[in-house]
Amino acid sequence: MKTIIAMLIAVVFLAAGPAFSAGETAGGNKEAQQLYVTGLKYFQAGNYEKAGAEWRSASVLDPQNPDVKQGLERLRQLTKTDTPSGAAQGAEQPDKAEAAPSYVVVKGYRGTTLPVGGDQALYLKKGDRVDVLVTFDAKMQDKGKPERKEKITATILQNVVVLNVRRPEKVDDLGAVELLLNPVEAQYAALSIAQGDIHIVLRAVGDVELHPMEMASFRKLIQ
Amino acid sequence: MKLKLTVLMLSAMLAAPAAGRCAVLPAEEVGCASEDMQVLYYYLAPEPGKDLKERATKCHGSKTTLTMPGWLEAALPAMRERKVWKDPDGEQLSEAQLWQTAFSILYELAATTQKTLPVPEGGAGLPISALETQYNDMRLRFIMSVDRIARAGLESSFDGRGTAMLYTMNSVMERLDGMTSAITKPDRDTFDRNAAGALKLTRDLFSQVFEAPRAAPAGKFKLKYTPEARILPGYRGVSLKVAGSQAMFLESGERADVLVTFDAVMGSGSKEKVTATILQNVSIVKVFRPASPSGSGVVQLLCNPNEAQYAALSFAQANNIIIVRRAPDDTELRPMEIASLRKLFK
Repeated sequence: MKTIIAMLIAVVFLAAGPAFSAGETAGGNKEAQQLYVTGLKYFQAGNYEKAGAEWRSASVLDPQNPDVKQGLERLRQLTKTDTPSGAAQGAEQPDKAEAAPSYVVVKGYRGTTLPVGGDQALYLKKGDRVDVLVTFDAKMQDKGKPERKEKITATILQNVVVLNVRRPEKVDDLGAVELLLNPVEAQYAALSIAQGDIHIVLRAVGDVELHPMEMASFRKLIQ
Repeated sequence: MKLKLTVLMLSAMLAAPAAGRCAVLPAEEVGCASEDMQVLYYYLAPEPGKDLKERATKCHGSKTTLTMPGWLEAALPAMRERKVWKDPDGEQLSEAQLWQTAFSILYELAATTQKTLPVPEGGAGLPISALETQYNDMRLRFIMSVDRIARAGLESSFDGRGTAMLYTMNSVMERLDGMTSAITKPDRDTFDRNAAGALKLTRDLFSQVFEAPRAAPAGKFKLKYTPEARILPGYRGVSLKVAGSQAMFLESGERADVLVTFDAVMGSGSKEKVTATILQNVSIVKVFRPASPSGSGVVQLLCNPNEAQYAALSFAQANNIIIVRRAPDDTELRPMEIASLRKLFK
């Protein structure tokens, strides 16, 4: 079980992997490349402000660096605002009317919709970061004993962005949450829908930390 | 001539929005709040510079020099010496250090707000949404720093000014709640109004040091404004659907235990209904109450990631979830045996 979780967490870490390969840039400026790699780490941890700061510094040193250009463009798409002074760009421009960042599906990612209870959708909004917990019947076997089924809960996805929320009129009715997931995460989300009960838990603003998590089981708790 | 006039009109039109903002949040006030907190912080430093006793200023009306009050100079050695707080890591902090923490966060608040001002006003023109994490972090650290001062019992600090200063800082908390809520929308006007209020209070805090102690309620400081219960970094907001009756008397900010009843498989293979206290001393962040107890309610609980999993498991597995309220200061955790009727009637 732990192996599965470790693998899933690795999947989260690899979220931005295919689009960014640190070793392949043609830019000759080593310092800019170092800044790019630092920014990439922030990006993968979801800290777009710091990623943007590193990549903008890299862009000053090496304006033609294709990785930096691509990174900044991706950041622009990810936290695109209606004003030119977007958060991701951090551009020091004269004030314009504030606009809510528009959360959209970015290249390489998927907008994945999960059906959730109205109670789950009640306090969620666009741009929130959440974890996805799934409760399912696992086949367990203790030494010398017959196989049994046990309900367990696992944190299957961590630190994912909410793209859209549909709140039903009543909390007893079904709602929907669209999450920004990479293709592998999208598969696991789909499996979770088919296999178990989904619970979405909300993170604090700015909390992008990933934790290795052991699954929860009543049997383990009660023993 | 005509062209010149058009250019002038255009400049005036372009400047209009910035001028509107500056009327609510003047750049000078932001800069002066930052300067005030810097001075107050350095007054309390172990070795304040000599230039601090007589400091040139442009922030205090006709005064061109700010002179450190005599009473403060006399009180400082004791404030720096007196250890009033022990951190969990064992570090002992002085009375001066506890106040310094709060003042440094207010300085940070002013400096960060400066970045949201237009470039011509000396700001960086950053949209408030770009600073959401920083403002939320400052809010949390500020609440904790004020809580620490109150718990250390520093009401008589600053030669009898402590209580009034604590109440001023309590009002800053309300403004911080307003600022951070406005960022999520984002509502720049509301943000600016609250930021202006917070910085005005910050300046008032500084001016209290130069005045006679203000009248304040005697005894232990109590929050007049309770900061909104929000999700803390490292924790998760877990929404649980509960029976409407369960949600009726719960309030945001309270602490509660979560009890679940489920069918346990006993050693003999038989099933038995048992109730376990699955979570203890968790904070209630939000409550949705239905119109009548027969409807469904929702309670959002502040759980660590592991507790969040057990809460979700309870929701999927349990026949019944009961949320029981705790007294305000009761944070004790106790080992609990599972309740079973079979055990009771043996």
